Amino acid sequence: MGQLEIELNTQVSTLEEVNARDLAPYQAVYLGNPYCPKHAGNLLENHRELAEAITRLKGMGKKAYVATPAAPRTGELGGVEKLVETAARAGADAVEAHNLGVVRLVHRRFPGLPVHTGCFANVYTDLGAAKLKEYGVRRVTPNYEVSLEEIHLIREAGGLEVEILLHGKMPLGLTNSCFLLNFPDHPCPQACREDFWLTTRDWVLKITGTVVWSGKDVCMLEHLPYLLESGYRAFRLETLYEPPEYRREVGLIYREALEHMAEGRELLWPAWLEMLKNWSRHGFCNGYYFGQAGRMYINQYGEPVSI
Amino acid sequence: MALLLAPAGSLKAAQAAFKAGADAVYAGLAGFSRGKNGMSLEELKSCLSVARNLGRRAHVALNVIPRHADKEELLRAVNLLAHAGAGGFILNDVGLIAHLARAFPAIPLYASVGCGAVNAEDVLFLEELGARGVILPPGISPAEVAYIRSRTSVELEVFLLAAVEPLRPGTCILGGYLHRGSPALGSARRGRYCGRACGAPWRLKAGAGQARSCRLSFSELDMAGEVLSYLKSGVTVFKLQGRHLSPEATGLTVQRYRRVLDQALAAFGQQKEGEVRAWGNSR
Repeated sequence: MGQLEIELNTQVSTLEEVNARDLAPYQAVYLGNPYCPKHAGNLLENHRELAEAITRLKGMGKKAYVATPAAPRTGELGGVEKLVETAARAGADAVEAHNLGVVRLVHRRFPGLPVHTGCFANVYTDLGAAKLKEYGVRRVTPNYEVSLEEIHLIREAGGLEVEILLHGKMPLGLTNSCFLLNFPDHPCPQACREDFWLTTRDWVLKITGTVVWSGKDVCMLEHLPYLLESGYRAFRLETLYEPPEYRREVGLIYREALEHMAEGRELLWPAWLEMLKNWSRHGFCNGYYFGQAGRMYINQYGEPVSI
Repeated sequence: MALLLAPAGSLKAAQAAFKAGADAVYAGLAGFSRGKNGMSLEELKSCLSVARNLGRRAHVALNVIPRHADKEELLRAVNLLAHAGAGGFILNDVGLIAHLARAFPAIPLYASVGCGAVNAEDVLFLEELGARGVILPPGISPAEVAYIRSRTSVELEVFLLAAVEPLRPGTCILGGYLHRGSPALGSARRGRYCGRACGAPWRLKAGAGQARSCRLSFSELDMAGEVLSYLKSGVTVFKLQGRHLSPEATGLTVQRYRRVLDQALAAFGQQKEGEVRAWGNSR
């Protein structure tokens, strides 16, 4: 396992977050916040800083992927094209697109630049993945409500690399407009530095301006050996809207787990899970990977447990 | 020619819609159609037959994305319904659109609003896949439609009446996250009923602050005032949401929008005539 090329990646919004210490556990980083142009310091809105961020990552020996706006209207496509041009010139290894129009635009204007599709590109089927391959897509993140059983089929039949969400909050939908603008006592853009939780019954969701997230953190640590055996090599730790310590500490735990697996050392599940719990306010879930409700957690023995 | 496309949650609703002046209806096949208003195969075939006898169109909504195991069953249903006279299929998965466009080149395919097309490149992508028409997001401006029209020749479909939910079409997977226990509840895109969890009485808590009541915003979109502008921008299909409506309510709704569309079409025709005369006089 030590010889396998395994990619742990994460996402940052700003240049300030591109620092060697917090990104040490990762081999690749998605740059920019695809969900809100007003997010303070968003690299997608400052192309000089984006180019610098790419240079910094390259200097750290990491891959640099550049996000693109998740749902750009027609009037914004010119800006997306300039963004991708900046990314390509600065040496980005790929761009990420949630929007199929952006996939087409990159394919036409920047042939040869690899495209990764994000969860909102709605890859649900092997047929969809195969079609996207014709448009220069190299890697897909299937929609998060697709089960692992179906993801295996997408990978086998679609012939594309598949990225798996390994840990972190899962985006569950995009709002039509910024939800937090309804609350003038939390002005934009400072509001996005606070945590907002929506609760009802025993349900908890996290909400940022334009994204509703799972309240629980997806945690696939216990299932990592199965994912590796199944052939997956690209893993995302979702850390948008999380503090730098979360990005660093959670990444380090997964990195340590991977090293133990590679070297055949003892797997310290209870200790690692305890450490991860320190960074999760509302517990863990597995998302939809095992075909259950997304907020449930199934342990490595296949038992639903509350954690 | 612009069409008024009405919802049909039942055969009776389809009949009421046609009687009230709908040019076409859309109906779902139970199990492969979002929401709880799909028809059985037999009822759907009767609906197609009614449309054919009236010289009108009936589209079939197959806007659930099938699991791999269900794909063959869906393809069989498409084959059967195509032969029964379906005027087109409304689909939610780009792979399925591309596949059916090759397998059934004569059948019009429509990219559902769930495909998430929000810009001209999206529409061009779907056109390249083989979509005959693309359903644009609720509330899209006539100016945006006009630009898209200038880039593509597909049928452009807009909502005149729609319930706008808090999360954008094509992005919401909330239902499957929250519900457990009932096999009927879950992801709408996978054929279950989402339970409209977003409409629950939520409480919002900011950091360590006090929680307060809040609602995620729902609204009813009525674009009747934009019909003429939409016509000028090149819209070809005007869609009404409401497969949950009774036959009576369907009829009344269609009647209202039929009137609005006819008035707009008359005004549009006069304006076009005026433009032609002005052009003739200038020569």
